[in-house]
Amino acid sequence: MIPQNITYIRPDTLKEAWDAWQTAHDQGKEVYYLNGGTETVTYARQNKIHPQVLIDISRLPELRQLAEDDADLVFGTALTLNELIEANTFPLLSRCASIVDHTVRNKLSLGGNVAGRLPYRETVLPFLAADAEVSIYGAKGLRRQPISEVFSKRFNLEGGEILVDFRVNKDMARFPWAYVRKTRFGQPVDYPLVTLVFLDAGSGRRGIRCAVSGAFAAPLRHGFIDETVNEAWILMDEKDAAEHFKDLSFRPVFVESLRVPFGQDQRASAEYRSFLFREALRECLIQLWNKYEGKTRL
Amino acid sequence: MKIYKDLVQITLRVNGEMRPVAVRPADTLLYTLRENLGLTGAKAGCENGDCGPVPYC
Repeated sequence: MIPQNITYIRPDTLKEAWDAWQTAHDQGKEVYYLNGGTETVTYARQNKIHPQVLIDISRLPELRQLAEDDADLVFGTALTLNELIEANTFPLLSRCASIVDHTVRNKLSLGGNVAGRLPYRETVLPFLAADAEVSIYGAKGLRRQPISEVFSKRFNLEGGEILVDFRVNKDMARFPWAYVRKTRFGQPVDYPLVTLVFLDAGSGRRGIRCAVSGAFAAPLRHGFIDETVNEAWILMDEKDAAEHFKDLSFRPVFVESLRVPFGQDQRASAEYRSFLFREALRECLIQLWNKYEGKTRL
Repeated sequence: MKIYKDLVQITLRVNGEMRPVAVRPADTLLYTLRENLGLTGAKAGCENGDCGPVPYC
């Protein structure tokens, strides 16, 4: 239960939601969009936020889309993680959405996870790897942008803008992928120390795209990681794979070259996260290799 | 568009009886049952609505 008195607004359209946000904001009120509510309600109860107005956007039809058109799969941001998993139209997304436990996933929304306050936001990883497009509703109505233009550490939105949906090319959803998630003591329900995804986008020899969460302060897609992984992938083709798995390792100098500091907190040191990240890279490559059953990918 | 603020008068059907109550938008069903209607049989869980034992925990 939210302790303070709130005004609860349930708009029927995106424009009503946008107008309600602007009105509350202009009146100097602390206003939030409400989707699944798992984070908003928790933080309100812990007195970390003090909402005066909550705008419930969880039933807006544009945000509830789970559809496909000629080219793209569409994922509305009010879909719950369980709805994404059960639909399984983008298997890498389904895998990334398999976090926390089933009952929380009944509430936890895609939009809440990708734009939440916690730094992990693991469901954004497949969209980063797949170069998804994001639909955003703002002052000028609905617009679409590549995720790389609006996501840097977090979604950079103007006040009151609404993340409406993600669009992923259908081909992306069919490409081979790999996923490794490492937590403290290997607990399945815990925040990740490293979550790493690979999506082999099949554009020749350098098609693997990587996205990582947990290791750094925010989810990240980094050109240098893609480059290094693709070089290792090519070497795996040229060597005897079984032999290469033994030798395959990513040296600390590689992660130092990233020039992105690893996260450090009471759950894990930066050194340990660096080690787990390099291990995850190795494991993802092996997973991907096994998906091809050793057949050449060229 | 629906807007709820301050106290709202609603009627709940509880154990076959219609019970009028005044609730705040931020109240949970659990709180309303326990504090407004005195029905303390339902116990609090996580109070976030995400732990799962009952939909109004």
